[in-house]
Amino acid sequence: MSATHGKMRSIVVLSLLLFSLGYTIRAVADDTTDYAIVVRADQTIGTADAALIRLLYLKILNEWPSGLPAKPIGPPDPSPENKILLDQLLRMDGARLAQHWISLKQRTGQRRVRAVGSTAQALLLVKNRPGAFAIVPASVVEVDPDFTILFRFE
Amino acid sequence: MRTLGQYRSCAPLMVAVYLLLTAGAAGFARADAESVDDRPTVEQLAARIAALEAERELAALAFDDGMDKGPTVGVFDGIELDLGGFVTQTLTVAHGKKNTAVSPNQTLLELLIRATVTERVSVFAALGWLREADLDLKNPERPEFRPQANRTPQIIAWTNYRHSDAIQLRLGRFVTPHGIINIEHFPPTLLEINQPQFLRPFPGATLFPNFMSGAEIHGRLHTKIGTLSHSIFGGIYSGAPEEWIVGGRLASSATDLGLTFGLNASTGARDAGANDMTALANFATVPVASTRANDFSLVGADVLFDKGRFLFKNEVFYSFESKQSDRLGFYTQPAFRITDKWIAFYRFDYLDPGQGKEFGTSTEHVAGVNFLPHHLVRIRGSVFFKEDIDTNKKTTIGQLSLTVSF
Repeated sequence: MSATHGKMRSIVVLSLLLFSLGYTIRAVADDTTDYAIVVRADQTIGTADAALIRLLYLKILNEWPSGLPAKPIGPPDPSPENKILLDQLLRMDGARLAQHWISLKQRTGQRRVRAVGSTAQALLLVKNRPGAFAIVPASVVEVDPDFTILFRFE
Repeated sequence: MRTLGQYRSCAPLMVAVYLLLTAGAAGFARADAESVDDRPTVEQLAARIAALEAERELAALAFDDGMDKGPTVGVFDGIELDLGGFVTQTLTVAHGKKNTAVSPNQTLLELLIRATVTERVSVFAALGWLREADLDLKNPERPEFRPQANRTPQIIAWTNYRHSDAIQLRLGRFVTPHGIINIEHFPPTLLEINQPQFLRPFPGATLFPNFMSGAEIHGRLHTKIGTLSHSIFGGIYSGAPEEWIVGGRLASSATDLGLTFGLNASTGARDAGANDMTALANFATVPVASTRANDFSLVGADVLFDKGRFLFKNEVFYSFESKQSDRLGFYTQPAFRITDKWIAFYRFDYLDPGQGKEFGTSTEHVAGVNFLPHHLVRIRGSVFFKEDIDTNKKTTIGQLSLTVSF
């Protein structure tokens, strides 16, 4: 009798553990959103890799390989996409980025990239401004024919 | 028969009836209009609001967030006009064997103006209003501050034509594209505002001029191995307006590694100037002009490592002189980002100006910290241990400085 109870207890505990593990995995999966760099679909920009996008965002370079002037749109700050931008594309923290903009202003008079208030604003600006690009959740644009995804972050 | 006067007495009543009928008709018309279901849906309204917000953001981006803050300043002509600048205040203590002097000796206001004239043409200028009591080091053991001078220099002013990122033409007065710190140039980004010895006096041409008036072809290229930047220039130094200097710079940056290598070269002539000790400018041990008219050919190299917490700058320049001893200047400056607000640095700095024992070889050990309580504010504390190698005379200088950018 006690052996049966023991087995039952083990099964219950194991089930709870498996359930918890599955729930945790699902929660983590739910929290993982892909972000992407997007541009307007109906324009020619040429081949662009992450290194080039980084230089364009920092305004070290100012045009796409096609010659079209590049116009970076800053993500909302703070936001998950801003964190992805700093960590994975620019590879610097906010303080260093701020110092970069001051340095750029001093040397060439160029403005820093301004942050928008929402993803919707970023997309509208990308849509309205030739050469503009922004980082947005990939799910928002992947079925929208108005935008082209240059590459994704995970 | 009613008279006209009798009709007149009914006029107010008729007007009232007319107004009532009109209002009623309008009300029916409105009700009819509303009955046609052309009112925007919630989704449409939300989309319209989002569009308006984005357009406002677009305008804010275009006008530098000047919306809803009072009158808008416009541009007479051109596309954009940007205005910024900074204020720097210093407090300097200089100690020699025979004297100690203390003064809040520099108050610097500089304005930065950039006008985007067309998509390809821009104008940029830095104008200064400086009150400076120069630190006089003609006798290193008896440092003193001169009376405050009020200076209003045009620091830089150039027009840039961008054919592409790789090919651009700059005309006017510009920072000489040599090395690392001379290009960074402005106090808001400098760990220490006096800059290495070979860049002093300011402006001067100890090894090469800090600024040139002339033309520069410059640009950047993105390649698979990194970014290449180039610059070829020709022009004059303000102290020798008929002596042309030509030169260039080639640099390669490997972004992922945080490394930049640069090669620099220039050649030209120096005019002779006043060669007595009174010609020494602020913080300098070399006069503004050369003691003899002289042809020179300069070569230099620089290495920058900027990654994570480390910021390491190194520059060396050697100048072959036709009628004087050759000149040599170099420094190494490691810095460590303790936090995102605190940076510590050290610099070893060597200068042989090649102009005899009167303006002899000197070294500096500089240690300091920067505190950035806000990204637009930089507070610095630095200590300089200067030594004239030929005379063995020493000066210790402490300096606090504050720079606020806008």
